[in-house]
Amino acid sequence: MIKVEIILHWAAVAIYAISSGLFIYAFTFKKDKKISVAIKVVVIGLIVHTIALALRWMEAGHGPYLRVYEVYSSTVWISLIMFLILLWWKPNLKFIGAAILPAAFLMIGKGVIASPEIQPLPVSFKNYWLVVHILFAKISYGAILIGTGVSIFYLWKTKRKKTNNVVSDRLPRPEVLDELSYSLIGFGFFNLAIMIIAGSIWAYSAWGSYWSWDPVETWSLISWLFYGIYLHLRRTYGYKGRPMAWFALVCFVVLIFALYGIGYVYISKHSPYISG
Amino acid sequence: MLKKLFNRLSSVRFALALLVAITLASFIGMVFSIDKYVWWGRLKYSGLGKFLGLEDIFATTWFAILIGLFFLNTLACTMRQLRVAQNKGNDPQSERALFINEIASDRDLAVILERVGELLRERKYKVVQCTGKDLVIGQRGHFARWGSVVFHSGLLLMVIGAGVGLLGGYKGIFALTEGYSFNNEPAGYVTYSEGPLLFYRQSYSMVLEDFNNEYTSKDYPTEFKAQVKIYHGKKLVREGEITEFEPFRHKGSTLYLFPNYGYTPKLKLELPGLPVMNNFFMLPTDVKDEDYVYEKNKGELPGGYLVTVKFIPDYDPRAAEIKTKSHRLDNPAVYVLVEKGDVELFKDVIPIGNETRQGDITVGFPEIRRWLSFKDVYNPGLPVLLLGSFILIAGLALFYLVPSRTIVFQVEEPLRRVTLGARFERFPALQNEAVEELWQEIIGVLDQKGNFQ
Repeated sequence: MIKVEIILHWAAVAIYAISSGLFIYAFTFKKDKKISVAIKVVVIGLIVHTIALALRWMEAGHGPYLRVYEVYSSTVWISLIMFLILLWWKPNLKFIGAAILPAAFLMIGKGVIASPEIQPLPVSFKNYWLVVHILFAKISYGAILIGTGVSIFYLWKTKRKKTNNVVSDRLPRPEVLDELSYSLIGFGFFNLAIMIIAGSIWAYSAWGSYWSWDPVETWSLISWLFYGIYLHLRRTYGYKGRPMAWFALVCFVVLIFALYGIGYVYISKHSPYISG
Repeated sequence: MLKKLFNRLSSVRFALALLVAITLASFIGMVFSIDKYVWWGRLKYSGLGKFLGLEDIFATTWFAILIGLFFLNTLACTMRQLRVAQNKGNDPQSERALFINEIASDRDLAVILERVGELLRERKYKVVQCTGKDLVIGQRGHFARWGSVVFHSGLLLMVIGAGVGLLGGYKGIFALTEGYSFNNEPAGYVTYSEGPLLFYRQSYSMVLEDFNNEYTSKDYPTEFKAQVKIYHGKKLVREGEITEFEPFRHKGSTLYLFPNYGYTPKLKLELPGLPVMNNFFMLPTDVKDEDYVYEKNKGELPGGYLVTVKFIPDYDPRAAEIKTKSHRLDNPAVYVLVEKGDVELFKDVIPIGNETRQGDITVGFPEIRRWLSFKDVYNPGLPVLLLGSFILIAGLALFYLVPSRTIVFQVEEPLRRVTLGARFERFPALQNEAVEELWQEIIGVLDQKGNFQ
């Protein structure tokens, strides 16, 4: 069964690659019909990906949250589900797939080349708060990934507008993109808060210490504070537009480092399953 | 003076400066607490580094002051937000007119307003004011404006809870051999720290029994568990099982079982010039993949005897070296070396239940016990901290998940001009579409009655 799961994961990677190509082609050459095809391909990819994750879950006896292979795969899965929900809510945002799909393809591609060996669930992981912690981590990363993608398109749109670029005309109005990015990042911030709190409760129930300034914990707090600064600047000072889009990109780099960087630099409680 | 201080404290600029300072301090604290061998890591041992407490920034006074200022700033900001949230509720003036049209002069105004009010109610708006004359106000997600206040109140409670836990609690780590008891006097812990405001410690003693564990597929011990009994004086107040990552709560504190464990072989030693000793040797765990031998313990006894003890849980007598076949307690044995000065007096491996004599020295190995490591935590601020966490999440949910808008439908007499205005707490461009849809519905409803020209 493990071999079937690996083959399905690779199939999902291939399907996402095709979808990325279709999105970029449709976005660049203004082919509306190809966008619909690209979305259908994403749905097919998600079905294959879901079966692969379900098989892995059954085989491993735990959720897909240990080691790079599972962490990257499940993060991409949640991000794409959120992307489809966003399209259902705002159909005119389908072009952001040209940023989301390549990012998802690269992320899952990085995941599947890591070791697919199944790691037994450590005793400390047998805790419901851990499930809450991981679930909300995935949702927050997915929301912020899409919010950042929208910020990139906002930067594109506001730059190219002056030169009458046909590509940027495909995108919604700049103020809609700007607010959408703000609302997705705000939603991500909310989920990050739940992730950090659930992680603290888990740590307290496992080790008797809710906060130990572990490198990943500290970096998650730093990411949260960065987004706190971003939201204060927007909400209180009314900053918006290009400076905030750039700041959102900076925040995203800080956030991504919490999950995919810090574990490689410093040894932490999270290292065995995010860098293994 | 007080007002000026309040204004300073409640300034958002000050809040942002504090957020940046805490972010920087967290980053510096993380880097300096871990990095030791690179040039910046060595800075913490310099005079300035020691003055700033770079080795553990999070325990320094200046970091505590920073958090204290953050608390005061959040408190002042929350008070200010509270006023704003209270005032906003009754302020229909700030709505923006979005859509304008005219109605026929022969229609009954009261009926139109009533119909629009019904429409708003159907769309889940709370119609807060319907004068019956010229105005209908509908509010949706009105309570979302409290989101910021609720969020910051949660943050305040979290800081209070963390502070109470740090100042009024204690934590300590101790090791206990099965069958033995532990009294929670500070001197009994391996490491112990308590807050300066800790005013009461519940005294207890704890007995460890029936230590047990499972083994992984690679034969490593895992899933430790034991029976514990808690006594207040001589009275048994609590007994039950404690397992790794499932703490044992009793009145006074919470006990956590750590996966640190080891062995305590009992040795009978007959050494010339000394009375017969029956001692337990608590051996620290130092598992080596190659030989699986539990670390030696070198200790000096009276009379200048130096005793080295190694414990072998599953002794392989056929192996050339002192070696264990696995971690399992299948064939326990001890390796004992007794020296005096540079002279080796005794050296042998003794299986459990045996005794060996070499020269004047006799060593016996009658019994093996195990020890476990525990963390004892008393945190009186935890309930407040948890409450604050949940309030913080509720505040964020109100703020970001509940779309909040106020709709004003107004008819101006005698022009009979109809306007639909809206005020959005946030995301006006995203919400505009919804209001436009509402306007189309209003037009549709009024058109059916022939109200629009």
